[in-house]
Amino acid sequence: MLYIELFLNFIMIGALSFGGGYGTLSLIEEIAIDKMGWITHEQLYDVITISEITPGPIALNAASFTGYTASGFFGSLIATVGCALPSCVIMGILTYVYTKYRKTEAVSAVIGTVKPAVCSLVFAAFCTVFLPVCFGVKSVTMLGEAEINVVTLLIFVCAFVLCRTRKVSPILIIFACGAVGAVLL
Amino acid sequence: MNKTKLFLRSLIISATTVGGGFVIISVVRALYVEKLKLLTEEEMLEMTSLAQSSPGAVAINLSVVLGYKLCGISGAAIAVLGTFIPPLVIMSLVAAVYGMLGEFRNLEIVANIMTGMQTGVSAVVLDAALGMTVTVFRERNVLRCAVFFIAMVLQLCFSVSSVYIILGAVLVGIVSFVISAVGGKNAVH
Repeated sequence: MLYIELFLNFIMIGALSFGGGYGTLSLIEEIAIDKMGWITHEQLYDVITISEITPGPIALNAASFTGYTASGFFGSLIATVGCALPSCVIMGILTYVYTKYRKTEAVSAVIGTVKPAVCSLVFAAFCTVFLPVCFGVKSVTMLGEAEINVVTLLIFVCAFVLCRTRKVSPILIIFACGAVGAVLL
Repeated sequence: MNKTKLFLRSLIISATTVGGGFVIISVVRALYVEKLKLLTEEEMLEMTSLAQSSPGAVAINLSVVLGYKLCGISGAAIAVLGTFIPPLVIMSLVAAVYGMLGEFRNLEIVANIMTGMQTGVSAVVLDAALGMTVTVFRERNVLRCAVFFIAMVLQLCFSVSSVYIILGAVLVGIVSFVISAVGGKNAVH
């Protein structure tokens, strides 16, 4: 019974989670904490912190953690599958439709304007990570109060040059930066 | 591409990529576009747009379209499985030892490693952002360039959610198609 509840609730969470990981978290808060009581608020905040140092999408991480806390590894599996299932189905349909109709004018007009929007989303994602570590501020509008961190800025420039020119694996670059951070910061 | 390789690559990327969906996008792009040259920048950008337009985790969405593109329907299933397994296993382990984690989090060295890694992540994401944006600007389409700048201002200065940015871009696309279709008809008559 608990397995079925976990599965259905996480299917709902997965299907309604537009706008990335943090959108999912508020749904998990509403359903897994307030409604079902599977985990506590403190545990969810810890999951968010832990998710920053472990790989994987934050939504799936939260689903795995909730499922495990509710009923062990099998619960974890069921909650995570439930959470990922709706987006797999929707994405499958979208991919199929797109591949079939990509040559039509309507689809290429729409994808044509979504592309630049996505590019700006990637830039915004860059700012979200870059500004706090190198300038100590959260957004562009706060740049007036920036405090430049010379060490992180230097690490950033080296990492970026490596990325652009020598084509070192990005995963290696990220881990190397972590090691340099441990030594220099 | 070989399905075992697709599975292993998805598994490795998912197991080692710390950070949100945009980090995955940047790493996938670096591997499949820059290194393996299995995808063009254009295709990567289209796949990213699709992954962004669907609900759920970007990493999973991207795996579906990437796997499908490289190896068909079974490829999509294989890539999703590879992406799915590492967070499941790692977070189950974390949940199992959760009680012992309290002190670990506050260690200074962990915070420094994190800051270092975030610096590296921002370099990788900027690299991807530049690569993708160049392909958009090469199209020399005024409307699309305008969408880029407007979306940028809305997000950076007004913190508009990415959901509305994508929805807005879809609307602009539909309107521009309707206008050009109607315009085309009038020109014929």
